[in-house]
Formats: sequence, C-alpha cells, structure tokens
Amino acid sequence: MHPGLLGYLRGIVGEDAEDVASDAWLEIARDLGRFRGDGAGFRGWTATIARHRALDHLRRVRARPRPTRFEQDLLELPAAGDAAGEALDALSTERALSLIAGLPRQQAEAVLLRVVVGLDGPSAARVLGKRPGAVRSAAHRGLMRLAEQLKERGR
Amino acid sequence: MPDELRDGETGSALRAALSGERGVGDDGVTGGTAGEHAALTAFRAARDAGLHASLPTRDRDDWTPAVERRRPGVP
Repeated sequence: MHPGLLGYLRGIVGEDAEDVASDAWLEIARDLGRFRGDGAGFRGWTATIARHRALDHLRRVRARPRPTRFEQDLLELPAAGDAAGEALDALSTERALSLIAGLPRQQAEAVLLRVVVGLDGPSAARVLGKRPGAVRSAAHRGLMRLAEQLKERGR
Repeated sequence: MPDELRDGETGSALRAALSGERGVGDDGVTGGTAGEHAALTAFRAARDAGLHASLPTRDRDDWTPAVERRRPGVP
C-alpha cells in the first residue's frame, strides 16, 4: 500500500488504520476498471475511497463508544519538561497523531492529504469536496499550528 | 499555479512519523500484508470475472486531467 495513504488513515482513525486500509484496498481492487486518469489522479482516486471507508469507520465506532488505545494515549501525554531531547526530526507516531487530533477536522485532513499523501491542491480539494482556496488556507493554518507545537518542548 | 505548500521540517517530520515503517499498534506489519493479499485476491477475481472491462466510469472515477477532458473525442 502507498505509505502516504496509510499515514493519512492513521491520522484520521488512529490504530484502526490497517483495518480501514484493507477495506479501502478491497474496494479499489474491485473498482479498478472504472478508474480513468494518470498517476496523480490514481492517488486522488484511492485517497477518496480511503476517506469514505475512514468516515464510515468513524460513524460505526461512534455508534458504540469504547476507549481506544489512541484515546488513552492522549490522556497520558508527558507533562511539560519530560520531553527533554525530543527533536523535531524524531517525532513519534503517537505524538504526531495526538497533534493531528488537536487540529480542527478540515485542517487535519488538508495537512494529511497535502503533506503525507502528497496530493496537489486541486486533488486534495476534490477529495474533501471543498473549494481549493479553503483547502489551501486550512493546510497552511494546520501546518503553522503544528510547527508551533513541535517547537514547544514537552507541550 | 500558486499551489505550492512549503511544509519544510514540519512536513518531513509528519511524513516520517505517519507513513514510515513504524505502526501505531504492536503488530503493524501483519495487518498491512494481509490487507494487500486480500486486495490482490479481490483484484484477480474481479479481473477474471471481466468486471474491469465492463464497469462504467462514474464521475467520481474520472480523474483525467481537466485539459484532456476538454479535448473533443475523449470518452
């Protein structure tokens, strides 16, 4: 699986990303004959399918609330000062997910699609069903916020 | 086109953290491999059943670049 797509799913559904990715790939495999486009288009098409599976998953999970390991980790973040030596280039998956989870949904998705999946602006806007300008602003704001948080030691 | 998004160090850190080899769960490898195997099986089944040749392209499946879609004669 394209690693960027799995990274996007991790940002949206956390620890269930592998299961959601499996669902997405089944649909991609089944509908592959319908796709028309180039390589960049394929990335946008598969991201759209993955997003739909992720949103379906979230709806199912919210219908039966249960504490997930991801949510527990959010409650157990280290206190300020404990993260001595945590460098920008050693960002852990768990910390990245907790920071992403702290963003408004549109900013989180815009950042994940542009930065982790590598979609261009128009493709990301199409996946999200939003105007390109709105997605560009959301990605920019999300990145600015993440950059500030990453610079703070121990948040 | 003013599409460039300069993500710098933040973007690099995010990509490495989220799409690297490290998984969130204890067993991030097995699930992915099983998922890919299932997808490949489904792909082969669909292809052998002739689905890939017979399924129509819906609007959501058409990601041809806009410039190509505007050319006459493109289905």
